[in-house]
Amino acid sequence: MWIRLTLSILLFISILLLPWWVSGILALTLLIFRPAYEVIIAGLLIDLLYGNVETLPEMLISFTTGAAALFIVMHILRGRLIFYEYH
Amino acid sequence: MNFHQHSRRDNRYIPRAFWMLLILSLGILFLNTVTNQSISKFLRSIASPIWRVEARVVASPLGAYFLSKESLLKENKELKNRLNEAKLDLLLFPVLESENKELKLLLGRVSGDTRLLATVLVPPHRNKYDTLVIDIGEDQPVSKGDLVVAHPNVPIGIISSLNGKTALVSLFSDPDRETNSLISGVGPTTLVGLGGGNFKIELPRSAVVNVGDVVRLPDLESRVVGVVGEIEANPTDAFKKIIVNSPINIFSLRFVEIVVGN
Repeated sequence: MWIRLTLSILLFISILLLPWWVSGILALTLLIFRPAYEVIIAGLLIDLLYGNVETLPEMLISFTTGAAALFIVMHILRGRLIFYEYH
Repeated sequence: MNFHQHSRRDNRYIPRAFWMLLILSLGILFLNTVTNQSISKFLRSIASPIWRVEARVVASPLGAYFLSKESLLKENKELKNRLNEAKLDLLLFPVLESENKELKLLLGRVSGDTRLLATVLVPPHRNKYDTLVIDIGEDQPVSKGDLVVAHPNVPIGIISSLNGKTALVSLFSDPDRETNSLISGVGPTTLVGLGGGNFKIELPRSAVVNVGDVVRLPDLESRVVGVVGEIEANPTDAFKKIIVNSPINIFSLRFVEIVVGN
């Protein structure tokens, strides 16, 4: 839980202070193990802070929909991955 | 030693919470558009103190500790080379500038514009949109649509949104954005943004364009917006693609000027 919380905080800080690809890596890391809805909120935040979305096509091709697409892809991928614990 | 498998949840279906969040997010984006970016303005007003602090730290001597010695040496060498090249070009500049002013005076066209200096708080590499956030907002005599130039007089974009103390600048090189322009020897053309300070122009194959030709805005000042960098021509195509590069590096911009009332 603490790892997820830390990564989420880092994700939102990186949106303000770091290049976009750092946020991308953090988003991917969050999505690898569990459905991380904060990734979609992060995409929305990028669009609201830096975007100039004024028309419907721009709304459909934005960081929000990109984050949603990444979420779906990782959700499908997670279903096909098996994680083992070593005891 | 035992290897235990994690319990596998049924991942055939996308969770309902995802769809609700997506619809809510798109609704917020739509609401933002309809209310003239009021939500964006509110968020930027919250974020602007953080950006200002970051800009001050980077500009201060403390910021130098975050740069490697090698990158500083490389930047130093590059700047010295550019300075030497610029010195040669500058020899002719005062003569040409004086001649230009005299000719405009003779023709009854005197240009004089008011400019405001602004600090770049958020450069374009922070996001994939070709936008900048600058530290001038509604508290200054600027308005939406004002031209933004980088030193010395290279137009880079226009103010697309104003907040309390910040403004969002939409760059001309924003992907698929179209800007009217002029190429010497060719005439009026349309610059289409490719992102990252690059543009493309489509011209008939018969148009005479060379690498290094200057692309200007069609205004009285004839500001240079780019330089022809590459020409892609296929013998079977009726058109050729011209790649135009900005003469300045938009990712390393720290200061810009706003041409007020343009």
